[in-house]
Amino acid sequence: MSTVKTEKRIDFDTLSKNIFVISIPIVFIIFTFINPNFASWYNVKNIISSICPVLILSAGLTFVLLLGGIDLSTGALCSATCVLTGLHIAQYGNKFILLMLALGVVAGLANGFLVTILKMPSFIATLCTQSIWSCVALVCSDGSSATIPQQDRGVIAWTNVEFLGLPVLFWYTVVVFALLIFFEKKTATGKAIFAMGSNAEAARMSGVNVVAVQMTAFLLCGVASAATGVYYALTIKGSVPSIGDNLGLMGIASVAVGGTSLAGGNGSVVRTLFGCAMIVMIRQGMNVIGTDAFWQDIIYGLIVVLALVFNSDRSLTNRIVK
Amino acid sequence: MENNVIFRVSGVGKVYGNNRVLENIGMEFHKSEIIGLIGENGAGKSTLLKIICGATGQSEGALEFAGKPYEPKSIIQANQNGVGMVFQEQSMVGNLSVAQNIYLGREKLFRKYGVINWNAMNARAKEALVRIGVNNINPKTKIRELNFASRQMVEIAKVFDAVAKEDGSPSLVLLDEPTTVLTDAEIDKLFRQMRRMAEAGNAVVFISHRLDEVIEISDRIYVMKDGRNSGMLLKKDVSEAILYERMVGRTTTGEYYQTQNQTKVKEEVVFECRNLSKFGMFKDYSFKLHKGEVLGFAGVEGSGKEDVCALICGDDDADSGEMYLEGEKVRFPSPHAALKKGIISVPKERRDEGMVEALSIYDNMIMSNYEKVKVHGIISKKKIRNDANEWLKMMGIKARRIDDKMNELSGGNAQKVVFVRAIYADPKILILNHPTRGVDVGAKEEIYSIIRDITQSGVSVILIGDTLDECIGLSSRLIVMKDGLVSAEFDCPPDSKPSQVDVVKKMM
Repeated sequence: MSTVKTEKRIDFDTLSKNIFVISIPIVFIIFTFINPNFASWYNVKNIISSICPVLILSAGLTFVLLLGGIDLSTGALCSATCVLTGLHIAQYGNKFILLMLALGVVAGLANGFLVTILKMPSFIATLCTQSIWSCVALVCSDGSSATIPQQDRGVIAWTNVEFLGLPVLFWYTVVVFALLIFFEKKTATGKAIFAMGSNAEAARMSGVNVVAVQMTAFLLCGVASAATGVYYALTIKGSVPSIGDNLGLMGIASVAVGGTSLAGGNGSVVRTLFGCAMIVMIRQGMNVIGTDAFWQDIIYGLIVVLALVFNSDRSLTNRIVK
Repeated sequence: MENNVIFRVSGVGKVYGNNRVLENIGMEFHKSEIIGLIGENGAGKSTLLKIICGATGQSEGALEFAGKPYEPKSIIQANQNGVGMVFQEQSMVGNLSVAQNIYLGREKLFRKYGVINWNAMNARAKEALVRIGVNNINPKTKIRELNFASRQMVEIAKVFDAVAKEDGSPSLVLLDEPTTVLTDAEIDKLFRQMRRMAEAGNAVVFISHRLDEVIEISDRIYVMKDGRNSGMLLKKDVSEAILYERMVGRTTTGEYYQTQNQTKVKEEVVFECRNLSKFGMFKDYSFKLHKGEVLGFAGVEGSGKEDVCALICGDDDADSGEMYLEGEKVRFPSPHAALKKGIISVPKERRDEGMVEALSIYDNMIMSNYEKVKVHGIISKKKIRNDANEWLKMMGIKARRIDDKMNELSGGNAQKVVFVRAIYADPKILILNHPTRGVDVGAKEEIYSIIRDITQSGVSVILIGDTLDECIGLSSRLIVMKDGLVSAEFDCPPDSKPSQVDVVKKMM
């Protein structure tokens, strides 16, 4: 009797967790049906390029969400690094990118410090840092966008290179993504994130270094956000202080649509790839079929709500680390 | 005599899964009577009280209050019926006032047109306090500004008020260890109040670990052991010696605890504590742990034994005192730090602290052992699977696959996985906090042989037994704690274990 019940529950869970596998082709077909141009190579390439930066950000964010925490500062940090890179890369050269990644490390560690050492709820802590980083973006850019002057673009000419028909930054994204998967599956910290996300107290009593694990998750999230900012600066070839405004929610949505539990402990970086593809495809698709911009946001919001309903906590991972 | 009975328990039993905690309990509480209820930890007192006060239902048997069947669905319903309990852990809300706490959940009484009349509430709270002899507490004071003893009095006033009925018909009040935080003068006051309650026609049930108190206040005493009612004694027949005799549970043979494999206490000291103190928990605690021995900690709940263990496994920090591991001074700010030095615990609350239910068996096994499953610095899935499968076989864990989630396992099998996690870490010291809690008989025996095996291989074990019998049966030495101090030490060689009565005497 009890076995039957167990099987049933797993089936339902599997269905709701894997719904994106069916829904991605369905959404693709629907958009193609409405506008055949959606399936053109030009548009597909466009979608892939749009996925890349969002993917880097949300893959990093996945680890914080797996812990049951949240990071609201990702978008703002992305804006700040985008502005700084756009303004200064011409002057300092490509090593400036490393400086930006280092800034990501600092920002991530700051979030981690607030949450683990000062025991602030991650929601509040990152809401504060979000506000700080958006101000950094606005102050540095004087609130307006700027492009890198044509004559200074020599430094970043390498970003125009294509390999197998796709831009070099796409391949960088693949490498970053692979490294994050490696971190998730093959390192002790990656494994410990799942244990902590499901039952923080048991993980702690088992001798998991909970402070280090949380710090690492926030650190990765910070670096990923910074990398996303740099990515945008390089592709837009300029600085846009509002670039990350919607990106924070988009990142969280990507992770959730992928089926990673926002309560922690369940999910993966690979799932985030699918979630991300879904979200970006819907955005892009609505552009292609010419949906009104205001309606786009309404539909987009509904999709996120729907994803969270599907993703709501039916499993045992109901202990939330804040 | 018959119409004097206001509350009757007949044939009540309680079963959790495969675990029977209460069996065929029969009791009668009379009008104007103070009844003592005693028994060792795990004898079933708390379960019985929970059933009576409506916090949980019984599996079998019936309750009767004032001649009518009594089936409360909740504590509030029980209160309305006239049965109330003062819980051992205080359940006051710190930043509400005394009056607000007394009428928490019953604010309706003072509500008119949706607005609460605070003056009326304060006045009635004052009356409730005065009724139990407390004149010096202002009902407007915030609870957190009161000391523990005063909070306890407020809690008692709350329960007395909640069960009092308009028509003055008798009610039943249960007090679960109300005296632990009170001074002698306050205890006197409480006892006077209890007598006054009884004289007014109510019945009062008093639970305490302090036998002298129980004997002093009670008219009759019920003794429980191993989930059964082991006797009812009238005040005139009672002495502490008789109560000890009745309280201790069955003593099992040495064979059950596999004492033939018990290690001899060696000279080599692995771990030593000197004068450990933690305010409010224990004081000047010193002991030596020898290589390969099982050192048992015995004591009633709140005696400090669990707090000492929390300290050794890094869950908590001491106020003062020193710990030495193999002669080296150590301090553990976290369980992680303790694990690095070779100390790990099997916690008491398996589901909350011991394992991650939503993860697989192998994920749980490696939780303390990430370094062990690395090949060339990388976690190897193959090594994890091989090791986990080996452990599964070696420990005889009944599961289909190592991928099974922990919540699909029975208590005994889950506990064995927790043991694997701890033993896999090659600890020098293993702390076992209620290692057989919620585990069936077969798995218990297997866990005992695991404990014998690891101690023979040189691991030292600190044990808090699930029952006193288990603690004596498994231990090579036994330290008894009482009120945060060491009250006795026993050697427990296989052929001459101390009797439970001797140990209980030092516990209470």
